[in-house]
This record gives sequence, C-alpha cells and structure tokens, in this order.
Amino acid sequence: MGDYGFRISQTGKDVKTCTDLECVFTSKYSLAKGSSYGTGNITDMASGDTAEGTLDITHNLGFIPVVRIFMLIEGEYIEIPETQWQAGVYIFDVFYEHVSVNKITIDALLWVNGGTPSIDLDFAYYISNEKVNI
Amino acid sequence: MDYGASVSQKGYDVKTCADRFLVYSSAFQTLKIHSIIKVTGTLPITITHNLGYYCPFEVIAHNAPQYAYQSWKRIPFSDGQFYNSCTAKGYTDKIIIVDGEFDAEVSNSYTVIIYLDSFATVTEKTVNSGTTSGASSSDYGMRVSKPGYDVKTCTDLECAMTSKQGFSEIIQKKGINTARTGQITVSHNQGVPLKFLTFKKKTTNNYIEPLIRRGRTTLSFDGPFMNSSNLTMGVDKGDGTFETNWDFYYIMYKNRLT
Repeated sequence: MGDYGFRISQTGKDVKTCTDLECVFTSKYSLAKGSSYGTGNITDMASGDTAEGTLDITHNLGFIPVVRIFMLIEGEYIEIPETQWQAGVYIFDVFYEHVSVNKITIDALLWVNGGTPSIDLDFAYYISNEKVNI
Repeated sequence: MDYGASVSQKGYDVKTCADRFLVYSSAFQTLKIHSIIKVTGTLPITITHNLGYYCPFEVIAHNAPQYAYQSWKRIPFSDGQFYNSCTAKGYTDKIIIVDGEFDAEVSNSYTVIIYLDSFATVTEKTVNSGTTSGASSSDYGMRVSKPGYDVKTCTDLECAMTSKQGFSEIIQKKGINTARTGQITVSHNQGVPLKFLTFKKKTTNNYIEPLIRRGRTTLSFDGPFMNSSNLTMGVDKGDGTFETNWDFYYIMYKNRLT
C-alpha cells in the first residue's frame, strides 16, 4: 500500500516535518474514539440495614468497550470501578460490570448503621468505541 | 493567525455547536492511540513501547471466571480497605503489570492501551461550553481510516477518526505537578467538572503508576477527585496527612461530567 495519510500539526509546527507527537491529528494513529456518554442516577435504595440498587447502561456495541464511570460524592467526582465510601452512618460499595457485550450495569450496595436514609447517587459515564476483548 | 479545522458530531452544525459536540478540533490537543495490545500470562508482564517518555496508558483486566464479580475492569481498583488490585508501572520505554499491595492478581489476560501523547504541558483554553447544540438534521460527515483500511468500506472501529463517533478524547489541560507539597489542586477554570486521567510518580522511582482513590471515610483519603473548579490529587499516608515525595501526571479532558 502506498504511503499516504492525513495529518494536522500543532500551531507553529511544520506539518511535513514535525513528529507525530507534534501533530494534533495523524491518521497513522487512531484518535481515542468515544461511542456514547451520559449521566445516570440510583435513588431510594435504602430498606432496612442493607439495600441495593442498579443502573443499566445499554450501548449495543456488540463488544466489551473501555468505560470510564465517575460518581458524585459530596460535590466531588471520583472514579469507580470499585470503591467504598463511608459518609456518616452510610457505607457505599459501588462497582460496575459488563453483564453482556451490549450493556453495563452499575451496582451500588449500601450498609446502614441505623436510620432510614434516602439515597441519591449520581453518575457520569463515558463509553469508548475501542474494543477491549481483542 | 486564525485558521484550523473542526469536525462536528453527526447531526450538529460544525459552525455553531458548542465545543463539546466536536469530535475533532485543531484548537485542542487530542489523545492518540499508539497501540492496543492483549497480553496473557502470570505477573509481572512487560509490554515494550520504546517511546522514550512517560505516556498515558490504561490496563483493563479481562473477565476471569474465578473473579466473575470483577468483570472487565481498569486496574488498579480498590477493594475499599486500602488495598489495590494488581496495578501497572509506566516506564519511559515499557509498561509492566505487577501485583498490587495485596498480591491481587485478578486475571491472566489484560488489554493494554498505550497513548502516543506525553504529559507535556497544555494549558486550559476557553471552551465554548454553552448549551447551544447547533443541532442539524443534515446527514453528512467525515471519516479517516487507519493505515491499511479502505476508508469507504471499513468499519467505524477501523477509522482513526469519524464524525459518527459520539465524542473524542480531546484534551483541555494536561501536565505534571511537581510541587511536592502533599495534597495539591490544579485548576481548570471551566465551571463544570471534567473527565480526567491521573498518574503518580514517586520522586525516587523511574516509573509512573495510575492514581486512583483508595480506602474510604473522607475525601481527604487519597485522590484524585474533581469538581467544577479543580482536580485534586494526593497520596494519603493513611492518617489523613499526605506524602510530599510524589509528582502527579494528569490529563483533564474537554468532556464534562455534568
């Protein structure tokens, strides 16, 4: 195959002679491509001392993609795959799983040391178009 | 000089849509994939890239029947008790997947994504982050295939770029923080929380490691975390105070979390 392609250099760099690192785009390397993104919520999980909630995210890609999932806690976003969080009398255990090649499920478990709290967890997710199960 | 190129998502007007609806803009640095590799075996596993600099990377542990609950996950991850799963060390010429603090090998198969980009500083730019979508019903776009694939017939997966894709990993700000003052914050001035990817490097080490939140109790218990103004990073000693012998390598994307 002939040597051709498409490249765009950073400002101030000569597109013909600059390195690949100095390109903002080069067809020699794929951009990290995204498929979908969005936000979701798990609410009202509490029932007694232990409760559980799930959030299903359907992507229908047909393969296992790279995913990044962030959870909002006290005004700050942290990343899961899997983390525990203790806030006062609550302990959250939050993780995600690829339940199929078309869907991701976020699972949130809750242990409560007394009381009947109302739970409201916000998530942001990014699902790439890059295949992991190669 | 004012020139450049932009490609909008399918269905958005490239001339008027907010920056976050662009899949490509020459105004922003992009994250480019050097290679995606599957590796198998027992740890440690070494993947050589010979780039000559510290590069961002991601390692995803494949699903393993004996650890079904772990599914396919980026490593490292915390079990909530201050232990990490197996992790990875990024050298200037290679990446090594190694056991974590708890000898937690979670799979015998991993996918490693190595990015071409370095952590050379990119300062934040003013982003058109308005709510105007510039939505358009016109169906047109642009695609560039990877080397060796016919752009007219290849799949989206075989494209280096396609305007059909939902979003791109466009960098808003990146760099290395060497303040070594404990827990540090890096501002992004965007008014909304941004997607991020972070690494830590102990001053005496010659490799970087993914920085994740571990443990529990309070936000001051390790970083990173993000709000509408700052990215906060730190390595907790375990008592709520922070070690001062770590540098932090970070990328903040144009992608927002709200």
